[in-house]
Amino acid sequence: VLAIAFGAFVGYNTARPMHDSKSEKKPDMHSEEFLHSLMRKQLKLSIACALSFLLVVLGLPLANYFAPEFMAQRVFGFTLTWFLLGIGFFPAVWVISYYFIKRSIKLEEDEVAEVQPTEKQL
Amino acid sequence: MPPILASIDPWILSFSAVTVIVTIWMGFRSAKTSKTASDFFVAGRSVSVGWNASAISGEYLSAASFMGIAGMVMSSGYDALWYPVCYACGYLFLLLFIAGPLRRFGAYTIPDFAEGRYDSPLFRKIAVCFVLFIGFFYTMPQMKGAGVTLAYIFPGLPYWAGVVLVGAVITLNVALGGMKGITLVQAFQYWAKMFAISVPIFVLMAVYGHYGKQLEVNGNVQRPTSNAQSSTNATNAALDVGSSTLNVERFSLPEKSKAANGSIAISTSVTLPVVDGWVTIESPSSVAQVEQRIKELVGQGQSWRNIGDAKLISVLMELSEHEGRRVVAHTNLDLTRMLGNMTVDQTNRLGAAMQLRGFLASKDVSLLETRAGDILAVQKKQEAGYSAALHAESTAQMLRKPLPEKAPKDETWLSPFGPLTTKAAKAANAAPRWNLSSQIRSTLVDPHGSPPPTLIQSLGESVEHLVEGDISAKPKPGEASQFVDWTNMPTNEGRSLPGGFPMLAMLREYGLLAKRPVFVATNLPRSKLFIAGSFQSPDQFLSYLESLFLTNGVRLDRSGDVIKALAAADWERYVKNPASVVLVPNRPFSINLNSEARFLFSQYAEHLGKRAFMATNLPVQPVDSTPRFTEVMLVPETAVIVERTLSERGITIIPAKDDEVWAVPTAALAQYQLPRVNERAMSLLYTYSLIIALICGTAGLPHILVRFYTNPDGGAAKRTTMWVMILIGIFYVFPPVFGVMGRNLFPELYSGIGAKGTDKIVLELPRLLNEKYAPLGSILSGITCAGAFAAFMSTFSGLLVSMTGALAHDVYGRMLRPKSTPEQRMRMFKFAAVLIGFVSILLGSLVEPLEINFMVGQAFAIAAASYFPLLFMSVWWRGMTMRGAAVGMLTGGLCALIAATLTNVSNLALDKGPMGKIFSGFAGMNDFWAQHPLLRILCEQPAIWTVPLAITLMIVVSKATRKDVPSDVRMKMLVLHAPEKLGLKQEYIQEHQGGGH
Repeated sequence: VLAIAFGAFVGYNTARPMHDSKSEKKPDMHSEEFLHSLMRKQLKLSIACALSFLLVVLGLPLANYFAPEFMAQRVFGFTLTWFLLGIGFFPAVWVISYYFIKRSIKLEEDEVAEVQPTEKQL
Repeated sequence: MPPILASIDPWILSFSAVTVIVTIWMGFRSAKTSKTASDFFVAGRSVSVGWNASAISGEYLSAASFMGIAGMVMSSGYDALWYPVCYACGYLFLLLFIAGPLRRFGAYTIPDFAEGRYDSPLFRKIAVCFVLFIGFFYTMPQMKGAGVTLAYIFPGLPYWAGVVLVGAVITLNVALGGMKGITLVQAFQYWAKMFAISVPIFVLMAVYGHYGKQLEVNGNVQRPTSNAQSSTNATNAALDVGSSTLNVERFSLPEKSKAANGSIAISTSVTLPVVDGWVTIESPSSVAQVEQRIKELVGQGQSWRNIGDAKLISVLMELSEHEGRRVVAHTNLDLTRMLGNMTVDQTNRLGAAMQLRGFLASKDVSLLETRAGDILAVQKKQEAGYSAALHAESTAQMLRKPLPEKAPKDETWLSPFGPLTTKAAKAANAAPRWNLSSQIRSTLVDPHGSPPPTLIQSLGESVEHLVEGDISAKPKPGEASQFVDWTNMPTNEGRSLPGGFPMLAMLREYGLLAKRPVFVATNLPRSKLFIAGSFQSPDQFLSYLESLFLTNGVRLDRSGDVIKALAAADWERYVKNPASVVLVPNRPFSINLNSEARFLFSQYAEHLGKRAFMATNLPVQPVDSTPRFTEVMLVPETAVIVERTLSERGITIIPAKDDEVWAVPTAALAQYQLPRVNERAMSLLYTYSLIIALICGTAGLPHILVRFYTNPDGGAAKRTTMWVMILIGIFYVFPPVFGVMGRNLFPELYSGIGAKGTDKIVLELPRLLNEKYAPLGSILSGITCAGAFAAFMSTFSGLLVSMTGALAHDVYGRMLRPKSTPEQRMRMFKFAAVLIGFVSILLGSLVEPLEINFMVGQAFAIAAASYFPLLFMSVWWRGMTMRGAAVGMLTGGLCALIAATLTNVSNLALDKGPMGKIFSGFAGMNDFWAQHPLLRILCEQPAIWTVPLAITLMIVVSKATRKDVPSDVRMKMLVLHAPEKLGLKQEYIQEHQGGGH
C-alpha cells in the first residue's frame, strides 16, 4: 500500500517533464528528461510487480477473514489456506520475480540502446 | 557429571562436533586466502551464480529459520506460517525496489550508502547505530538457539551454560580472524542446512505419514464419523429402537475412563453398569480357567454343549469367556432377547468362539474390534457407522498422541487468527474491562462521604466492628474444622489438593489444631496454599503447615498466648517494635446482611482492604429491620456472600482496579463496562503488521545487501536473487512440517518451558524413529543438531563480524580516534569482538522464555522502520535531505526498538522461572496490556505504524529543509538508476574526486 501511494506520488512528479521532451530524438543521458523517463519506467515495472505480489499477500488474510469456511476446506489433507500459504506461495513469488528480472534486463538494454547510438555519432 | 555423560547420545554429539570443527576449519582456511575486505569482494566477483546464491541463502537461514519456525508452527499453528513465507518473499521487495539501484551505486553496506548518498560522514555515524541495534536483536535468538541445542545434546546442562559456551567459541573465533563472510563456507552451510532439514523430514514422513495426512488429523477426527452418521441416519430414524435407555449419540465410541451413569437389568438378580450407552460384559473366568475347564470336560468325555434357549447376554458372556476379552455392547441391543437354540464345541476354545460369532451374525448382531482390543457388539444396521468411527479413531490415534492441556485446540491452531495473533485481544476479553475514564469516575462517590482512607487506616478502624466479644477468646473445644479436615487428607503421597486454600483459612485451621487463637497482620499475603502429601497425625500436619507458611512468606510468632502471623518482610520491624504491625484476630466475624447497602458495601471493601466507590444512583430498597447475621472469615473468598446479597438488591460490585471496588446499579452495568474487543479484527491488524515488518525488514537487513556485489554484473546479480528465492523458498517448506508432526507425535513439548519448549522440536522429533529403527533416530537427530549448529554459528558470526566492524571501524576509527594506527585498529577490532560477544551472551542468557522466531521478527521490525524507509526513499525520491532521512530513520527505528523492548520485558515478567523474578518489576505492564489490547498489538508488532511514521517524517522534514538537497542529486540518481553499461559510476567517481579535493 505504501509502495502504491508513493509510486503515484513519484509517478505524478516525474510524468510532467515527459511531455516537454517528446520532440527530442536523441536523449542526452545527463539530462533531466532521461533521468525522469528512466526512473519512471523502472518504478512502473517495480510497482506493477509489487502490486501483483501485494494483491496476494494482503488478499489472503482478507480471504481468511471474510470466507473462513471456504478457506478451511480440505485439499490433500491441508486446509486450503494452509496449502496456499505453506506451499503455494513460493512458486507465485518465483513467477513474479522471474517476470521482473526478464523485463528489467530488457529495460536496461533498451535504455542503453536508446542512449548509445547518439554517443557513437558524436 | 557421570549421569550427564551417560545420557549423551554419541551419534548426536559426534555429528554436532564434526559440524563445529569443519566450520571453524573452513573459516580459518578461507580467511588465509583472502585477508582484506577488498580481497573478499574481488574474489567474490569470480564466483558463479549458483555458488553465490547458495552463499546468500546460507547466510540468511538463521536459528529462527532452522529451529524457530518449526517451534512456532507447533505452538501457534497457522499464523506462524507468515514468518517463513515473508522471510522468503521479503527478497522480492529487495529485488524490486532496492537491490538494483544500490548495486549500481556501489555501496557495500548501508552506512556506506548513507554517507555516499548525502555526502555526510555524520549521517554515516547515525546509520551505524542501527547496525548495532538490529544486530543485538538478531543475536539474541541465535543465542537462544545455541542454548537450546546444547541443553538438548547434554541433558542436564543449564541453558545459560550453552549460551556462554557457544558464544565464547564463536567470539574467540571471530576475534582471531576466522569466519569472515567467505562465499565457500556460507554456500557449504546452505547445503548442510538444506540436507539437515529435508532428509530427516522425508524419513519421518515415510514412517509416520506425509505432510497433508499429518495436518488432516488436526480438527478433522470427527469427520468420517459424521459422514457415516448422515448416511445411516435414515435407517436409524426408521429403526424403532424402543428402549428408553438408548443414548442419543449413535456413533460415539465407549470410553473406559468414565464412571457408570446408569445400569441395565439383565435379570432380576443381575444388573450391569452402563457408561454412556455402553454396557461392558466380562467373563468372570480367565482364559487359563477356561482352558482348565475344557481339559476337565474332555477328560470326562464331554465335547458338545447345548446352550439351549440362549439370551443374547448369555451368548455374549460365552464369547467373552472363550476369547478371553471384554465385550462392550450397545444398550440398544436387547440383551435379554431370546436367540434360540445353539450348540458349541466345548473342546476347542477358539473354535467355539467362531461358532458363537457366526451365530450372533445370523441374529443381526455385528461384532467389531476396538483399538483397546475389546469386542464391540452393535446392531447390524449400525455396523457401517461404528466401523467408520473406529477407523477414524484408530487413524487419529496412530498419527497423534493426546494433546496436553497447554496445547492450543485443533480449531484455533489450524485456522487463521489463532493463538499467536489473538493473544492480546483474548487476554483483554478474559475478564470484563471496566471503563476507568474520568467521566465515569466523576459519577462515583466514596460511601464514607470523605476522602477514601488508606489501606491500613481502613483496616485499623475496621477492627472495631470486625471483632465481637472477647478478642482473646480461645477456639471452643468442639469447634469444627471449617475448611480442611486433616484426617481426610489424600493418601497418595505427593498429590496436591486441587484448588488450594486461602492463606487466612489455613492459618485459622492451624489455630484450631494448635488450640490457640491466631492474630494476623493486615498486610498478610492473601495467596492460596496448596497442600501436598498425606499426614498421619495432627502434629505432622501442624509442622507441615508451618513450613508451608514459611515458604509462602509468612512468619509465625508463637511466643505468647496467641499465635501471631505476619509477613516475613515485616519480621525485623516487628521484633524491634511489636506495635508497628497491625494485627487483627483471625476468627469469623458476623456481618448483618440486612444492613443498609452503603454500609454493607463499605464493610465489604474494608474486608478486602480496598478503596470503595459507589454510584450515586444506587437502587434504594426497604431494608428488612430484622438483622440477618452471617458469620464469615476475613478472607476474600467469603466476600462472595456480600456480593450475592447486594446483587439481590440490584447492586453489582465491580473489581475496577487492584485496589478499588465500585458498587453500581446492575441495571446500568453496561455503562461501566468497555465493549468486548473484536478478536478477529485485532488479529487481522496483527497479521498485516507482521507482514509489513517481515517484508520491509528483509529489504533493510544490514548484512544482506553486501552479497549483491559478489556478482560479475547486474544481470548475474538479478539471476542470483532469483536463485536465492528459489533456494530459501524450498527450504522454508520443511520447517513447518516439523511443527505439524511435532504437534501430532511429540505433544509433550507443549508442557515444557524455555529451552525445554517447542523450539527444540526440530532436534528432538527425529529421535522418535529409534522406537522402530534404532539408531536411525539418533543419526537423524544428530543431523538436525548439526544443521542447527550451522544455522546459529553462521548467522552469529556474520552478525558479529558486521557489528564488530561497525564498532571498530566507524565508532572507534572515525569518531573516537580518527588518527589511530592500523595496529591500534586491529587491536580494537579484537577488543570490540570480545565486547560485543560478551553483550550478546548476556542478552542471550536472559531470553530463554521468548520464542526464537518471535525475536527475529522483532529485529526485522526494527530494520523495517529504520533502514527500509531510508533505502526506499533515498533511491526513489530525489527530494530527500540528510536531515529528513536522519529524523525519519531515527524516530521510526527507535519507536520500533522501544516497542519491542517493552513487549519483551513484559513477556519475561510472566515467566515462571528465574527470568520472571529478574523482570518482575514489569509485571504490572501486563495488566495495562489487558486493558489496552490495541496498544499491546501495536507494541508487539510495531511495523504498521512505525514504517509510515518514518516515511512521513522523511517527506515532511525533507520538504522543510529543501535547500539542503545535495547539489549533485541528479548525478546520484543517474548512477542509481542508469544501466551500468553506460559507465556513469566511473564518471561520477572521477567528478566526485575532482570536486572533493
